[in-house]
Amino acid sequence: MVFLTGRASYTTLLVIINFFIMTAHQATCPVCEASVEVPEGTVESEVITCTDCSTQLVVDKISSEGAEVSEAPDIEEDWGE
Amino acid sequence: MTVTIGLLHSTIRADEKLILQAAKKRNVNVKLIDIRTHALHKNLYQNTIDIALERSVSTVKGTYAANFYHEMSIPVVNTPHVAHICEDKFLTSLVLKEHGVATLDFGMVFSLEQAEELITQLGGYPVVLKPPTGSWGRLLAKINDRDALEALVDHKQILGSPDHKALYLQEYIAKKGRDIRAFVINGETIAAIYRDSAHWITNTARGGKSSNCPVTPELSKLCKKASEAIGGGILALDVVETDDGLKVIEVNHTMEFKNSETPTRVNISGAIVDYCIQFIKKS
Repeated sequence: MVFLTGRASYTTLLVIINFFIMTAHQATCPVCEASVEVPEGTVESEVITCTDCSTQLVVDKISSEGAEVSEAPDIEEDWGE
Repeated sequence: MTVTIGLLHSTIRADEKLILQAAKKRNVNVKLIDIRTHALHKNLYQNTIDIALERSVSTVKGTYAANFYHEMSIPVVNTPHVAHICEDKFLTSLVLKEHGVATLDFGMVFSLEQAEELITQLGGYPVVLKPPTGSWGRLLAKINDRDALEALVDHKQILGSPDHKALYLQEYIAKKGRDIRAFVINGETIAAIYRDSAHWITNTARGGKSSNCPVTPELSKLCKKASEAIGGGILALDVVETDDGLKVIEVNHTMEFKNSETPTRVNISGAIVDYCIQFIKKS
Protein backbone atom coordinates (compact mmCIF):
# COMPACT_ATOMS: atom_id res chain seq x y z
CA MET A 1 0.00 0.00 0.00
CA VAL A 2 1.35 3.47 -0.94
CA PHE A 3 0.33 6.53 1.02
CA LEU A 4 0.43 9.81 -0.87
CA THR A 5 0.76 13.23 0.69
CA GLY A 6 1.04 16.75 -0.71
CA ARG A 7 -0.35 18.47 -3.81
CA ALA A 8 1.97 16.71 -6.28
CA SER A 9 0.95 13.32 -4.96
CA TYR A 10 -2.73 14.31 -5.16
CA THR A 11 -2.27 15.22 -8.83
CA THR A 12 -0.46 11.96 -9.47
CA LEU A 13 -3.29 10.08 -7.79
CA LEU A 14 -5.86 11.82 -9.99
CA VAL A 15 -3.90 10.84 -13.10
CA ILE A 16 -3.72 7.23 -11.93
CA ILE A 17 -7.44 7.13 -11.14
CA ASN A 18 -8.20 8.74 -14.48
CA PHE A 19 -6.08 6.13 -16.26
CA PHE A 20 -7.86 3.19 -14.67
CA ILE A 21 -11.43 4.49 -14.52
CA MET A 22 -11.76 6.26 -17.86
CA THR A 23 -12.36 3.90 -20.76
CA ALA A 24 -11.92 6.65 -23.30
CA HIS A 25 -9.84 9.78 -23.69
CA GLN A 26 -11.20 13.20 -24.45
CA ALA A 27 -9.90 15.60 -27.05
CA THR A 28 -11.08 18.88 -28.53
CA CYS A 29 -12.20 19.10 -32.13
CA PRO A 30 -10.01 21.74 -33.86
CA VAL A 31 -12.88 22.67 -36.17
CA CYS A 32 -15.93 23.06 -33.90
CA GLU A 33 -14.20 22.87 -30.50
CA ALA A 34 -16.58 20.15 -29.31
CA SER A 35 -15.33 17.57 -26.85
CA VAL A 36 -14.51 14.44 -28.81
CA GLU A 37 -14.35 10.98 -27.29
CA VAL A 38 -11.36 8.92 -28.36
CA PRO A 39 -12.57 5.37 -27.68
CA GLU A 40 -10.58 2.80 -25.77
CA GLY A 41 -8.34 0.83 -28.10
CA THR A 42 -7.76 3.75 -30.45
CA VAL A 43 -4.14 4.09 -31.58
CA GLU A 44 -2.19 7.10 -32.75
CA SER A 45 -2.60 7.88 -36.47
CA GLU A 46 -6.10 6.40 -36.47
CA VAL A 47 -8.96 8.44 -37.92
CA ILE A 48 -12.10 9.17 -35.90
CA THR A 49 -15.11 11.39 -36.60
CA CYS A 50 -16.28 14.37 -34.57
CA THR A 51 -19.87 13.57 -33.62
CA ASP A 52 -20.76 17.27 -33.57
CA CYS A 53 -19.45 18.54 -36.92
CA SER A 54 -18.62 15.22 -38.70
CA THR A 55 -15.05 16.32 -39.42
CA GLN A 56 -12.64 13.45 -39.92
CA LEU A 57 -9.93 13.73 -37.26
CA VAL A 58 -6.62 11.97 -36.95
CA VAL A 59 -5.45 11.04 -33.47
CA ASP A 60 -1.99 12.59 -33.11
CA LYS A 61 -1.18 11.68 -29.53
CA ILE A 62 -2.62 9.59 -26.71
CA SER A 63 -1.30 9.82 -23.19
CA SER A 64 -2.58 9.33 -19.68
CA GLU A 65 -3.47 13.02 -19.70
CA GLY A 66 -5.72 12.85 -22.75
CA ALA A 67 -5.59 12.83 -26.50
CA GLU A 68 -4.72 15.33 -29.21
CA VAL A 69 -6.42 15.34 -32.59
CA SER A 70 -6.14 17.33 -35.80
CA GLU A 71 -8.00 17.43 -39.10
CA ALA A 72 -7.37 14.23 -41.07
CA PRO A 73 -5.65 14.65 -44.43
CA ASP A 74 -7.78 14.48 -47.56
CA ILE A 75 -7.67 11.25 -49.55
CA GLU A 76 -4.87 11.49 -52.09
CA GLU A 77 -4.53 10.02 -55.53
CA ASP A 78 -2.13 7.25 -54.48
CA TRP A 79 -4.16 6.06 -51.50
CA GLY A 80 -5.49 2.55 -51.25
CA GLU A 81 -4.49 -0.83 -52.53
CA MET B 1 13.03 -15.77 -29.84
CA THR B 2 10.92 -12.63 -29.50
CA VAL B 3 10.00 -11.24 -32.86
CA THR B 4 9.32 -7.58 -33.55
CA ILE B 5 7.41 -6.55 -36.64
CA GLY B 6 7.88 -2.95 -37.72
CA LEU B 7 4.52 -1.91 -39.12
CA LEU B 8 5.21 0.88 -41.61
CA HIS B 9 2.11 3.04 -41.72
CA SER B 10 0.61 6.41 -42.42
CA THR B 11 -3.06 6.70 -41.47
CA ILE B 12 -4.06 3.69 -39.38
CA ARG B 13 -7.03 1.83 -40.83
CA ALA B 14 -9.18 -0.90 -39.33
CA ASP B 15 -6.99 -3.36 -41.26
CA GLU B 16 -3.88 -2.31 -39.34
CA LYS B 17 -5.76 -2.62 -36.05
CA LEU B 18 -6.74 -6.19 -36.94
CA ILE B 19 -3.06 -6.92 -37.58
CA LEU B 20 -2.17 -5.44 -34.18
CA GLN B 21 -4.77 -7.65 -32.49
CA ALA B 22 -3.55 -10.73 -34.34
CA ALA B 23 0.05 -10.03 -33.33
CA LYS B 24 -0.95 -9.55 -29.70
CA LYS B 25 -2.70 -12.93 -29.67
CA ARG B 26 0.53 -14.49 -30.95
CA ASN B 27 2.77 -12.65 -28.48
CA VAL B 28 4.49 -10.93 -31.37
CA ASN B 29 5.75 -7.41 -30.75
CA VAL B 30 4.67 -4.73 -33.18
CA LYS B 31 6.46 -1.43 -33.44
CA LEU B 32 4.26 1.16 -35.12
CA ILE B 33 6.41 3.25 -37.45
CA ASP B 34 4.68 6.29 -38.89
CA ILE B 35 6.72 6.79 -42.04
CA ARG B 36 5.67 10.46 -42.16
CA THR B 37 7.56 11.23 -38.96
CA HIS B 38 10.93 9.58 -39.57
CA ALA B 39 13.54 10.94 -41.95
CA LEU B 40 14.81 8.10 -44.10
CA HIS B 41 18.57 8.49 -43.70
CA LYS B 42 21.00 5.73 -42.82
CA ASN B 43 22.78 7.83 -40.16
CA LEU B 44 19.47 8.44 -38.39
CA TYR B 45 18.40 4.81 -38.60
CA GLN B 46 18.53 2.49 -35.61
CA ASN B 47 17.50 -1.08 -36.09
CA THR B 48 14.87 -2.17 -33.60
CA ILE B 49 12.81 -4.53 -35.75
CA ASP B 50 13.20 -7.97 -37.30
CA ILE B 51 10.98 -7.36 -40.29
CA ALA B 52 9.14 -4.44 -41.88
CA LEU B 53 5.51 -4.91 -42.89
CA GLU B 54 4.61 -2.18 -45.37
CA ARG B 55 1.04 -1.00 -44.71
CA SER B 56 1.07 2.61 -45.84
CA VAL B 57 -2.21 3.86 -47.28
CA SER B 58 -0.08 6.03 -49.58
CA THR B 59 1.54 3.91 -52.26
CA VAL B 60 4.25 6.47 -53.01
CA LYS B 61 5.34 6.93 -49.41
CA GLY B 62 5.07 3.21 -48.69
CA THR B 63 7.26 2.32 -51.63
CA TYR B 64 10.00 4.76 -50.60
CA ALA B 65 9.90 3.50 -47.02
CA ALA B 66 10.00 -0.14 -48.14
CA ASN B 67 12.98 0.55 -50.39
CA PHE B 68 14.78 2.28 -47.51
CA TYR B 69 14.28 -0.56 -45.02
CA HIS B 70 15.28 -3.07 -47.68
CA GLU B 71 18.55 -1.17 -48.19
CA MET B 72 19.06 -1.18 -44.40
CA SER B 73 19.08 -5.00 -44.73
CA ILE B 74 15.70 -5.43 -43.04
CA PRO B 75 13.41 -8.04 -44.62
CA VAL B 76 10.39 -6.23 -46.05
CA VAL B 77 6.92 -7.62 -46.75
CA ASN B 78 5.98 -7.24 -49.52
CA THR B 79 9.38 -7.06 -51.13
CA PRO B 80 10.18 -3.93 -53.13
CA HIS B 81 10.29 -6.14 -56.23
CA VAL B 82 6.69 -7.28 -55.71
CA ALA B 83 5.55 -3.75 -54.87
CA HIS B 84 7.24 -2.39 -57.98
CA ILE B 85 5.26 -4.76 -60.19
CA CYS B 86 1.92 -4.39 -58.42
CA GLU B 87 1.86 -0.61 -58.14
CA ASP B 88 1.77 -0.31 -61.93
CA LYS B 89 -1.15 -1.98 -63.69
CA PHE B 90 0.62 -2.10 -67.05
CA LEU B 91 3.68 -3.79 -65.59
CA THR B 92 1.47 -6.21 -63.65
CA SER B 93 -0.38 -7.16 -66.83
CA LEU B 94 2.88 -7.60 -68.74
CA VAL B 95 4.30 -9.90 -66.05
CA LEU B 96 1.11 -11.96 -65.84
CA LYS B 97 0.97 -12.32 -69.62
CA GLU B 98 4.63 -13.28 -69.82
CA HIS B 99 4.04 -16.06 -67.30
CA GLY B 100 0.95 -17.38 -69.04
CA VAL B 101 -1.52 -16.30 -66.36
CA ALA B 102 -5.07 -15.88 -67.66
CA THR B 103 -5.69 -12.15 -67.64
CA LEU B 104 -7.70 -9.55 -69.52
CA ASP B 105 -6.24 -8.20 -72.75
CA PHE B 106 -4.65 -4.81 -72.35
CA GLY B 107 -2.33 -2.21 -73.81
CA MET B 108 -0.74 1.19 -73.24
CA VAL B 109 -1.09 4.24 -75.46
CA PHE B 110 -0.12 7.90 -75.36
CA SER B 111 -2.33 9.42 -78.06
CA LEU B 112 -5.78 9.23 -79.61
CA GLU B 113 -4.46 7.58 -82.75
CA GLN B 114 -2.70 4.87 -80.76
CA ALA B 115 -5.84 4.39 -78.66
CA GLU B 116 -7.97 3.75 -81.75
CA GLU B 117 -5.47 1.19 -83.01
CA LEU B 118 -5.38 -0.55 -79.63
CA ILE B 119 -9.17 -0.62 -79.23
CA THR B 120 -9.46 -2.38 -82.59
CA GLN B 121 -6.90 -4.90 -81.34
CA LEU B 122 -8.89 -5.37 -78.10
CA GLY B 123 -12.02 -6.23 -80.10
CA GLY B 124 -13.72 -2.84 -80.18
CA TYR B 125 -15.81 -0.83 -77.74
CA PRO B 126 -16.45 -0.79 -74.86
CA VAL B 127 -13.03 -0.73 -73.22
CA VAL B 128 -11.90 0.32 -69.76
CA LEU B 129 -9.46 3.18 -69.22
CA LYS B 130 -7.48 3.07 -65.97
CA PRO B 131 -4.71 5.19 -64.52
CA PRO B 132 -1.62 2.91 -64.49
CA THR B 133 -1.31 3.66 -60.78
CA GLY B 134 -4.23 4.15 -58.45
CA SER B 135 -6.84 2.27 -56.54
CA TRP B 136 -10.27 2.15 -54.94
CA GLY B 137 -11.79 2.31 -58.41
CA ARG B 138 -10.84 5.97 -58.82
CA LEU B 139 -10.72 7.55 -62.27
CA LEU B 140 -11.78 4.40 -64.07
CA ALA B 141 -13.73 5.04 -67.24
CA LYS B 142 -15.78 2.69 -69.38
CA ILE B 143 -15.43 4.02 -72.92
CA ASN B 144 -18.43 3.06 -75.02
CA ASP B 145 -17.66 4.85 -78.27
CA ARG B 146 -15.25 7.07 -80.18
CA ASP B 147 -16.86 10.28 -78.93
CA ALA B 148 -16.21 9.32 -75.33
CA LEU B 149 -12.66 8.27 -76.20
CA GLU B 150 -11.92 11.62 -77.83
CA ALA B 151 -13.26 13.54 -74.86
CA LEU B 152 -11.34 11.50 -72.33
CA VAL B 153 -8.04 11.63 -74.19
CA ASP B 154 -8.46 15.37 -74.65
CA HIS B 155 -9.13 15.90 -70.95
CA LYS B 156 -6.17 13.73 -69.95
CA GLN B 157 -3.82 15.50 -72.33
CA ILE B 158 -4.79 18.98 -71.14
CA LEU B 159 -5.58 18.48 -67.45
CA GLY B 160 -3.59 15.40 -66.50
CA SER B 161 -0.21 15.09 -64.85
CA PRO B 162 2.41 13.17 -66.89
CA ASP B 163 1.27 9.89 -65.32
CA HIS B 164 -2.27 10.47 -66.58
CA LYS B 165 -1.03 10.94 -70.13
CA ALA B 166 -0.08 7.26 -70.12
CA LEU B 167 -3.36 5.55 -70.99
CA TYR B 168 -3.79 1.95 -69.84
CA LEU B 169 -6.66 0.35 -71.73
CA GLN B 170 -8.15 -3.02 -70.84
CA GLU B 171 -10.78 -5.12 -72.54
CA TYR B 172 -14.20 -4.74 -70.97
CA ILE B 173 -15.92 -7.83 -69.60
CA ALA B 174 -19.60 -7.65 -68.68
CA LYS B 175 -19.40 -8.98 -65.14
CA LYS B 176 -22.19 -11.19 -63.83
CA GLY B 177 -23.03 -8.55 -61.24
CA ARG B 178 -19.93 -9.43 -59.30
CA ASP B 179 -16.24 -10.15 -59.38
CA ILE B 180 -13.90 -11.96 -57.00
CA ARG B 181 -11.29 -10.64 -54.59
CA ALA B 182 -8.92 -13.45 -53.59
CA PHE B 183 -6.51 -13.20 -50.66
CA VAL B 184 -3.30 -15.01 -51.46
CA ILE B 185 -0.41 -15.53 -49.10
CA ASN B 186 2.75 -17.17 -50.36
CA GLY B 187 0.81 -18.65 -53.26
CA GLU B 188 -2.01 -20.11 -51.18
CA THR B 189 -5.50 -18.66 -51.58
CA ILE B 190 -6.59 -18.47 -47.94
CA ALA B 191 -9.96 -16.80 -48.62
CA ALA B 192 -12.00 -15.07 -51.28
CA ILE B 193 -15.03 -12.83 -51.47
CA TYR B 194 -17.54 -11.98 -54.14
CA ARG B 195 -17.94 -8.26 -54.63
CA ASP B 196 -21.52 -7.77 -55.73
CA SER B 197 -22.59 -4.57 -57.40
CA ALA B 198 -25.03 -3.51 -60.07
CA HIS B 199 -22.36 -1.02 -61.18
CA TRP B 200 -19.55 -2.21 -63.43
CA ILE B 201 -17.07 -0.99 -60.80
CA THR B 202 -17.36 -3.47 -57.95
CA ASN B 203 -14.74 -2.19 -55.46
CA THR B 204 -16.02 -2.32 -51.89
CA ALA B 205 -14.63 1.22 -51.55
CA ARG B 206 -17.25 2.13 -54.17
CA GLY B 207 -20.13 0.31 -52.50
CA GLY B 208 -19.65 -3.28 -53.66
CA LYS B 209 -21.09 -5.78 -51.16
CA SER B 210 -18.85 -8.60 -49.97
CA SER B 211 -19.88 -12.21 -49.41
CA ASN B 212 -17.95 -15.44 -49.10
CA CYS B 213 -16.63 -16.98 -52.30
CA PRO B 214 -15.65 -20.65 -52.18
CA VAL B 215 -11.99 -21.21 -53.02
CA THR B 216 -12.41 -23.60 -55.92
CA PRO B 217 -9.53 -25.58 -57.42
CA GLU B 218 -9.72 -23.32 -60.52
CA LEU B 219 -9.43 -20.14 -58.44
CA SER B 220 -6.69 -21.61 -56.28
CA LYS B 221 -4.66 -22.71 -59.31
CA LEU B 222 -5.01 -19.35 -61.06
CA CYS B 223 -4.00 -17.40 -57.96
CA LYS B 224 -1.01 -19.63 -57.27
CA LYS B 225 0.24 -19.12 -60.82
CA ALA B 226 -0.28 -15.35 -60.60
CA SER B 227 1.43 -15.14 -57.22
CA GLU B 228 4.45 -17.05 -58.53
CA ALA B 229 4.62 -14.72 -61.53
CA ILE B 230 4.54 -11.60 -59.35
CA GLY B 231 7.03 -12.89 -56.77
CA GLY B 232 4.85 -14.19 -53.92
CA GLY B 233 4.12 -12.42 -50.68
CA ILE B 234 0.81 -11.08 -49.41
CA LEU B 235 -1.41 -10.33 -52.38
CA ALA B 236 -5.02 -9.56 -53.17
CA LEU B 237 -6.08 -10.59 -56.65
CA ASP B 238 -9.09 -9.20 -58.47
CA VAL B 239 -10.55 -11.93 -60.64
CA VAL B 240 -13.42 -11.90 -63.12
CA GLU B 241 -15.62 -14.77 -64.25
CA THR B 242 -15.67 -14.93 -68.06
CA ASP B 243 -17.08 -17.39 -70.60
CA ASP B 244 -13.49 -18.61 -71.01
CA GLY B 245 -12.98 -19.19 -67.28
CA LEU B 246 -11.48 -17.06 -64.53
CA LYS B 247 -9.13 -14.23 -65.45
CA VAL B 248 -7.02 -11.90 -63.31
CA ILE B 249 -7.91 -8.21 -63.56
CA GLU B 250 -5.17 -6.83 -61.33
CA VAL B 251 -3.01 -7.60 -58.30
CA ASN B 252 -2.77 -5.52 -55.11
CA HIS B 253 0.24 -5.62 -52.80
CA THR B 254 -1.07 -3.75 -49.72
CA MET B 255 -4.36 -5.55 -49.35
CA GLU B 256 -7.31 -4.20 -47.43
CA PHE B 257 -9.33 -6.96 -45.83
CA LYS B 258 -11.36 -5.49 -42.97
CA ASN B 259 -14.67 -6.28 -44.71
CA SER B 260 -13.60 -9.81 -45.61
CA GLU B 261 -12.78 -11.58 -42.34
CA THR B 262 -16.44 -11.76 -41.27
CA PRO B 263 -17.97 -13.18 -44.48
CA THR B 264 -15.12 -15.63 -45.07
CA ARG B 265 -14.60 -16.54 -41.40
CA VAL B 266 -10.89 -16.58 -42.16
CA ASN B 267 -8.43 -14.80 -39.88
CA ILE B 268 -6.64 -12.93 -42.66
CA SER B 269 -4.82 -10.64 -40.24
CA GLY B 270 -3.49 -13.67 -38.37
CA ALA B 271 -2.28 -15.20 -41.61
CA ILE B 272 -0.41 -11.96 -42.40
CA VAL B 273 1.38 -12.05 -39.04
CA ASP B 274 2.15 -15.77 -39.43
CA TYR B 275 3.63 -15.10 -42.86
CA CYS B 276 5.87 -12.36 -41.45
CA ILE B 277 7.19 -14.78 -38.82
CA GLN B 278 7.87 -17.42 -41.48
CA PHE B 279 9.55 -14.78 -43.65
CA ILE B 280 11.96 -13.88 -40.83
CA LYS B 281 12.88 -17.52 -40.38
CA LYS B 282 13.62 -17.85 -44.09
CA SER B 283 15.64 -14.61 -44.25
